[in-house]
Amino acid sequence: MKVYIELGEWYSKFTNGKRNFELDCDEGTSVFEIISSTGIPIDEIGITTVNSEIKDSGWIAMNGDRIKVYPMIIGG
Amino acid sequence: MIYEKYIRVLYIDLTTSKIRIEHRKDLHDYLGGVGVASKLLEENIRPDLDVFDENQPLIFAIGAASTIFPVITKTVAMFWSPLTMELGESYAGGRLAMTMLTAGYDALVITGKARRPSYITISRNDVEFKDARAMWGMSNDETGRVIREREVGHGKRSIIRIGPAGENKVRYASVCVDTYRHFGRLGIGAVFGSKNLKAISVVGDRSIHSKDFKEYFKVYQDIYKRVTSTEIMSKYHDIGTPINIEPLNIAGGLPTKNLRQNVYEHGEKISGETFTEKNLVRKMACTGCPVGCIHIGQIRKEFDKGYEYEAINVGYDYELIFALGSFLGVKTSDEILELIEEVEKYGLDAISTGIVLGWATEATMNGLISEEQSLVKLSFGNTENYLKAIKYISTSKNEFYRTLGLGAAKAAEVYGGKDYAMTFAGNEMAGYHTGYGMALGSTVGARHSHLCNGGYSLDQSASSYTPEEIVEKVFEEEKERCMLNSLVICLFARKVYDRKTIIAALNSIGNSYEDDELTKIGERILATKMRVKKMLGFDFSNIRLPKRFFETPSMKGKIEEDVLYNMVDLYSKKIEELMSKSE
Repeated sequence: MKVYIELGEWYSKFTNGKRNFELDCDEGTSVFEIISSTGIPIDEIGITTVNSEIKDSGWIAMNGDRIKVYPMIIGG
Repeated sequence: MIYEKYIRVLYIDLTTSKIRIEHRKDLHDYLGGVGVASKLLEENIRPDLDVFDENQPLIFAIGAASTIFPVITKTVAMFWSPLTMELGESYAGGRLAMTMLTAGYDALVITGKARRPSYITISRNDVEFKDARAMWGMSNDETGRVIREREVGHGKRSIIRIGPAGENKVRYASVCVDTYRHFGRLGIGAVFGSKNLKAISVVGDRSIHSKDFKEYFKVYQDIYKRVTSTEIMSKYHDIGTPINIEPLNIAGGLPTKNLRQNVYEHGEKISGETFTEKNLVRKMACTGCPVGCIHIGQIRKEFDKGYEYEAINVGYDYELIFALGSFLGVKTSDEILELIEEVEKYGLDAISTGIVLGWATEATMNGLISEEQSLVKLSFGNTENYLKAIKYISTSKNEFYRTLGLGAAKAAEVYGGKDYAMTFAGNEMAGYHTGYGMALGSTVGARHSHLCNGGYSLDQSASSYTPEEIVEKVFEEEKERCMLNSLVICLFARKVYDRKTIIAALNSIGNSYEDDELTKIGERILATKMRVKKMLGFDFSNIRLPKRFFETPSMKGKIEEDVLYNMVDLYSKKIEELMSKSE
């Protein structure tokens, strides 16, 4: 199946400059597994939305899903 | 002092213009920083006198490894907060820690009141008391410029100063440190003002020699590598803390329009990426930090008719963007920078100013404040009028603005609207409406700051904690941060400085500590802070948060009042236990 990944600018350093791209993956793959496969370090995976709704990273993606990843909230 | 088993304290009396230096062996058990400062505050504070009485102390301290290792860059200031009327504690970077270290002082205790507006210069062998009458009324920026021209020590000097808000004792006035850093919170600027103290210049020129350079350099390099070559700190350098706007907004944790909303419809226009694309012109670092997280944005301002423009550089961070942006419904990065510049000029704490103005705007909407009182119509998104209001607060323009200068909680006591004066025990809220971690952390934190225990970071953890687990984690982190702040590590590097690293760093410069000793230091410091708070009348059971916190859903959903107060109760029992153990 295919999913669409959308990333903020900061993440592009992990994905060879790519911010919006299509990804092939097996059915039953979790959002976490999909994002990890893009090269983003797991510690940097913050809030994730699937088709504009916040989902936890264990959510199982479906064909055609648009997955957007936001950085972890930082501060002291 | 490095390699010494004592803390070198410089006492300065502004009333008599006298100084003395003490080598305090007894303070060595507090490691330095907030530990030493808490103990000195406990020794010198006068709860029997007015908060602005000249006998009240103002304390600064650095830690045992300040600027000797990467990112250990901060100085702590402690005082009786005129805003919350309890523990005052604030941190700043810049060059101050480096200059205190190289001038040879671990801590400064300033008491008394100068007869006239004054500034002091501190160097290795000398303290001078100087006339600042010509500077009274000047902005932070102008004051810094004048002292830079007058005083020696370029490159080895730190200049900390107040603007008109501090002179007028606005209770959330800040102290500017080396232009782009601040002792921002809890009204330390007003304490300076109450002492007729416009500025302090510290010049340090002492060399520090390592007794075991090989070991020191090995540890230094290891830390440096982790700071610069891993992803732990890169976000702080790249986009900086404003990167938070987007995730907080999408998740419903961005306080907006006086927390009437948790999502900002114009969030994208004020995001970290927007600031980077439109305004960022420079990045800077505190002395001793290889990261460079200070983001400077530029705005163009017309200063006269006839196409006369100037470029103004303004430091920005997440908290400032939230407080003067989403919280006030301001829609563009340029307008936010204008507001930051105004707050900077007058020397106010940006967070408190935004929250105070948010309350004033809603109180105006609800008919509690007339335009006759506020002189300008305060409405969300009206930057022009907010700029005027900032000036009026700083200069105590009329009775209404004098009251606003007391903070949001006090203003609501006078005019009404307590349910939406967004403070934690009198301290204006930080920009995270994330859930129980943040709500509990800020309520019980020793200075009611989100940074006391980082409770907000629990709210974004993948795990869902029970209320009891949150209490436990907040309590443990509060103690740990007391230890970290005794070294005065920049908390951005919290993940770099784990226990193993801290012990290796201290050992390499002749300070041998074991893991459990560091735990005890953290506990000792927290108990000291709590004793000071108790002395000033603090009681957990008196805390009540504005209803708005419970009405507007947080990032983790609605916060239930009874659940939160039960958590506060549980936490207070842990504190009682800690204090009885330390007696």
